[in-house]
Amino acid sequence: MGKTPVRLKEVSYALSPIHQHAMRGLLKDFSYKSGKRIFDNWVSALFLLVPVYGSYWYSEHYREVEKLHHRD
Amino acid sequence: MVRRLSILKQPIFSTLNNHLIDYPTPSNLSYWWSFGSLAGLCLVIQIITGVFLAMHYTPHVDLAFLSVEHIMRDVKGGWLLRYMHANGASMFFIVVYLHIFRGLYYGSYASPRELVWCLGVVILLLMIVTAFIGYGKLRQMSFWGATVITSLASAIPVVGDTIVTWLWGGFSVDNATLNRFFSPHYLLPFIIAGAAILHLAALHQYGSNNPLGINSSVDKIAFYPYFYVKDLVGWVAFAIFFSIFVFYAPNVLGHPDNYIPANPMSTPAHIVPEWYFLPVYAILRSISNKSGGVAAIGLVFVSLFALPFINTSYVRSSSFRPIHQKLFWLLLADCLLLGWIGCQPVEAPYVTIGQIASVGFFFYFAITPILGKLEARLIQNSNVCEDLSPRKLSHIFKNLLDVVK
Repeated sequence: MGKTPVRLKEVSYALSPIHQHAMRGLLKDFSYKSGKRIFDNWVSALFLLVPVYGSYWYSEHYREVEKLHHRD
Repeated sequence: MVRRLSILKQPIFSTLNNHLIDYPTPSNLSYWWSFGSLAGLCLVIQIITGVFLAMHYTPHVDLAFLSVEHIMRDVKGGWLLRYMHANGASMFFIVVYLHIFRGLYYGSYASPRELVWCLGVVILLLMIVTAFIGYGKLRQMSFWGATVITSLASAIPVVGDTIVTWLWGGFSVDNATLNRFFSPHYLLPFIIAGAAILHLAALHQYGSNNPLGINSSVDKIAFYPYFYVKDLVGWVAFAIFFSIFVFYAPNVLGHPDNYIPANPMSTPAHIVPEWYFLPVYAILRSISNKSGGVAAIGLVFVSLFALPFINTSYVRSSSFRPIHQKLFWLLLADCLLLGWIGCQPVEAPYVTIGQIASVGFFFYFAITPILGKLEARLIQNSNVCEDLSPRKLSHIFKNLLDVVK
């Protein structure tokens, strides 16, 4: 249970999920939210994608050059 | 009177209640925290399908391949059991790798959860051994893969060759190897289950981490029903993903050579292990010396074990560590690269890329001790905080907690 006693919060709802329209906000401003997520994380995405794609591109380029070199 | 007699307050049930029902859980956990329970689900799937497969499998060199074909063709539902077990292993590793990377990103390995992390690495090692010895030995790729990997033990000085002979039970992978691998393959999943219980117990000492990486004692909610339902969503999504592989692409994660019975007189052109071993296999192959390669594999797991103890950052979550965040994505890219290199032939330019990627992998762990201090220094220099000693930081956080309460 852990070394520090913790008081639990109660999360209670007065309405049923159907009356609360719980999924309403899911697609609201979807384009804005997606754009913001991309804008905030584009640098991290570069750090992920550039090494992977760059290495793949380099290996394909190397093999192409080697193939052409052997044809000469 | 009624409350004292409540079943949830009786022995055993009270333990279940304290750890699975009324357990205080941070309210802000994202879906990245669902992979833990998913890993448990994968273990249960593997054990159940494995037990039923073992009722029909024959671990003998003359009958093993045929018994698997018998399971696939004659046993009712045997095809489903076999495909669930084979693809279930892949799913188990996908889930565990995502679980590990979540822990790396959000600093779940940091103090006071070092024991949780170390037990997790132990589980990963047990999984790797279990998957390797369960891969079968009487199919072309599994036979030669087993021959290659078990031969690595000969790199151990003095006793290496003796250990290899003991592992094989003879002078090559044969019937004795099949039997002595099948037996622990049945046993180890139960050891993994025990280790998983210890992993959970260690976690429940201090409670789960959360996406913010800060102490969440001020805002916790009961595990049931909130995270039971959240995990259920994850389980359903996993079931759909798993079903796509089992029913529509059951062999895409395997190797076609495994439908050829093992032939000791014919070596495949390219020996590759299953996809989940490829990053470690790439690191092994990047060093031309056998002992060096084996040492590099050992270093991978030593680095993982040492991570909580070499971490010097006061901040857990990468959301608030911009440099570590970039390094994390570089590490992920590096692991994907290593996985790709592992299935390529040992020739240019894959050798060079593999060597650079191997160095990159260890670079992440080498820079961890320096990174925490560097980030603290950068915060200091930006005049956000004059002094970032642990005493000052704990004083700041205590004041923050008092304000929030």
